Amino acid sequence: MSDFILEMKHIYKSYGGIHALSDVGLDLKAGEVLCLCGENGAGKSTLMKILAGVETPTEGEIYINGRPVRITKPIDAFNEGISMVHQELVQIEEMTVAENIYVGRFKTKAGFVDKKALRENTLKLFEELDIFFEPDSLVRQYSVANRQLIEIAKALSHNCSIIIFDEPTAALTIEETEKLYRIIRRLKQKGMAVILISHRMEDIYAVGDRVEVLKDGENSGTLRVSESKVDDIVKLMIGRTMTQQFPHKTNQVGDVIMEVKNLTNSKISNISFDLRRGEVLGVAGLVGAGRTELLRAIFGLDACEGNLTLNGKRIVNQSPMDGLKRGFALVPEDRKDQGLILNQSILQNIVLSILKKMSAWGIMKPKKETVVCEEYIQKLKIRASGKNMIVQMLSGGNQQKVVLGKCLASKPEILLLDEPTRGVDVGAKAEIYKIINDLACEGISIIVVSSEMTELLGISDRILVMHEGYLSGELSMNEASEEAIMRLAISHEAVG
Amino acid sequence: MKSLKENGGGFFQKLKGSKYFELSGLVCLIIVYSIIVQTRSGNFLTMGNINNILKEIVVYGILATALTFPLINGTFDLSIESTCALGGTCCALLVTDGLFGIKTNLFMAVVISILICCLVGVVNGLLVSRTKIDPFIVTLGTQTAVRGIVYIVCNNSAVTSLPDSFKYLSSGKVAGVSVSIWILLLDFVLMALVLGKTSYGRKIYAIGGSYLAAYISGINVKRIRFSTYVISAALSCIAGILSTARVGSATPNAASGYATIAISACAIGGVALTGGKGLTIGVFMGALMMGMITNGMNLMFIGSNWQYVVRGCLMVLAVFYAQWFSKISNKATNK
Repeated sequence: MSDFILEMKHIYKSYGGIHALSDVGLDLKAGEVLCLCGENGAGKSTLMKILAGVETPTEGEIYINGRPVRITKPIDAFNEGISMVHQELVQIEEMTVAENIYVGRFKTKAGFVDKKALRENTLKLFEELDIFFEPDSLVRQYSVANRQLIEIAKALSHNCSIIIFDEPTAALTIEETEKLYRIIRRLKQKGMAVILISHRMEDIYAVGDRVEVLKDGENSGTLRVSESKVDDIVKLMIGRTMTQQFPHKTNQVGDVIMEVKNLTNSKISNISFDLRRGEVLGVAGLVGAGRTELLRAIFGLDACEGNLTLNGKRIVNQSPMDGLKRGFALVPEDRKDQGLILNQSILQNIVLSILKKMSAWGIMKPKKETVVCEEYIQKLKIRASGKNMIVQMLSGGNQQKVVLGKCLASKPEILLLDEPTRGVDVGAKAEIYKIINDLACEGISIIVVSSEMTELLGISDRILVMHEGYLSGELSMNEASEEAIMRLAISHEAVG
Repeated sequence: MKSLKENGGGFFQKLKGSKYFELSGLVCLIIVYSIIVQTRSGNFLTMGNINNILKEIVVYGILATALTFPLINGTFDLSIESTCALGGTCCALLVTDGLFGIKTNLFMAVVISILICCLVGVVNGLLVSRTKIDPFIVTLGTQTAVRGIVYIVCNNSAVTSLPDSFKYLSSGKVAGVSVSIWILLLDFVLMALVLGKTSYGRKIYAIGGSYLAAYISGINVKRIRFSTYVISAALSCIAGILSTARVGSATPNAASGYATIAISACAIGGVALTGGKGLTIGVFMGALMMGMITNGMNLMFIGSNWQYVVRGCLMVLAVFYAQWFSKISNKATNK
């Protein structure tokens, strides 16, 4: 009898002849937090989807408490005590918190949903997790972080013994992440086994007991967290040591190109700063501090009051069309919804902002398009079977590069990046940092919004910190540190 | 990356990866259906009958193209059938009794009717692009209202005794093929060019694929959305004029229910009702399939009641096939 609560052995999964997973194994003990790492496309999500019954393996065995089981549908996984908190939250926005947790499993009284029992059970779950949400409130009013907690409560409601988190901290702020860590530790104390898919070293060191690394659909190695260094894990992930994640900064900061004065709308108040040519300006702050809204206002996506001066000329961007015409380009936070036309090819996406240049009398010029597209595929190292590949099929990192390519094709003077490395693997992240540095060297001014402070510290020339819509401070690189940023991000006495 | 190897396969691999592969199911359906009808009746695949089928599909073929623009753009247009009737009626009145006292020659009548119908498109376009009312509701409203206007304009009675020049649009022949069929083919060729080769076409697809992404990429989403409704109305008008020419009179209830047939043709032809996807050749084959069902079953002496049943089943079957083939196609391109 094995003492493992879960064993996966010799798992193979192929999609029409391509091996997504080959001979992958995994084991897990009760009360253990296993971190599953690997670059995008390494097979982590596929492996976990197999465990959760969303995908069926081509070959392989799964044992729960030493007993072989067959998991072919999500319901099988629930019955075996396996629950998954998905990266893209699957909630019904128009239903209440309690209804979402118990959807499909309502207790009924004479055919009607027993609202009282529903409410009480939900509250009991929340108590166990030491969180609270009003069970009768609608889910859509909560932030991503809170919805994730609701999702955890839902996973718990299935009486599960194994719970899988798919990149839970990608969209969370530091405080929210801490809260999640506390909950994971609590689950562990209760004797549950946790699998955590994460790119972030912080997550691994905060809660992990063991790290399992996948690479190209195979096991790359397993390490005990307490005995290993970051470099060891990174080495397993990419097959080489990455001594320096951030490129050596080589850009030259020039004269002021844009002045922002008293920018105000319903989400941001009185923001003033200036931006120099070839500068990488970081914008830090908690989620909801108005960072995204600042970029949107500058780009012309949201209406605002105040002055924008570009190269000495007063301008107002009233729409993205205005913004693009004046040399702005925005890489939005949500690339799937706002950055890409998912069912179209790389080429069609890259030329989207420059259709006018790619056509004569309204007729597209395929040769010209191909030249531009190939240029950006090469320049940004987009890995795909060709320019006609549908972007939906690309990994997160490559999708992000396509969005970048689209923005660069419009030859912007000012590039606005909103969380440019969210959901992107370590290797692609380093590439994106290098691209940002290269672009700054070419004289493009870049404003980067990011929730990862190490990232901002690594690539910026200067950092602005926002708090509840205000600019709460500005840090030069000499002054900037994670503590300094955090102090300003949570400060209550904002400047201005 | 393993999964992104260069796709070096032969012809079949290439076909599987192409965007036309999805239509294979429909092609198979058309072939199988043709063989069945041909063996049962014997004169299905004659030149004369093919001409009949094409003539049959002129009106709802053009209506299907009218619908394709809003559909690919991610919206909907139910008003095409009323606009179709309005165009036919206005044009007939202009060359006979006169519309509000105006009488013109045929050419001017066509131009004026198209302009009148474009007004319907303008109303639809403004409401859909400037407000948040669901396009389905907006065009359901205009469908009803415009039908009322048609009855008012023609004073509840059919417009008859059309001049021969009008009827020539349907009965006249150029190079052995009816004028109306030439117009149908021209319409499809133009649509193929606009959707496939122009930046305007790209914008229509992009907005249908993701409205927000298209907007952030600097596309004037409202203007494009507005324009698709004007195009839709203009094409509906042409369909109406050809319908009138064929029947020899303009009746106020003309083209009732044709919106459903146009939607079926688009759906069979692989146009996604969610937007962003669809090919002109698919819409053409979809319309062709609809015509073949009616024509073939008439030849086999199967009544119109059964034709409805078959049409319904085939529509679902064709969409099922399209999705199935699209899955295979995705796997092929993913290699």
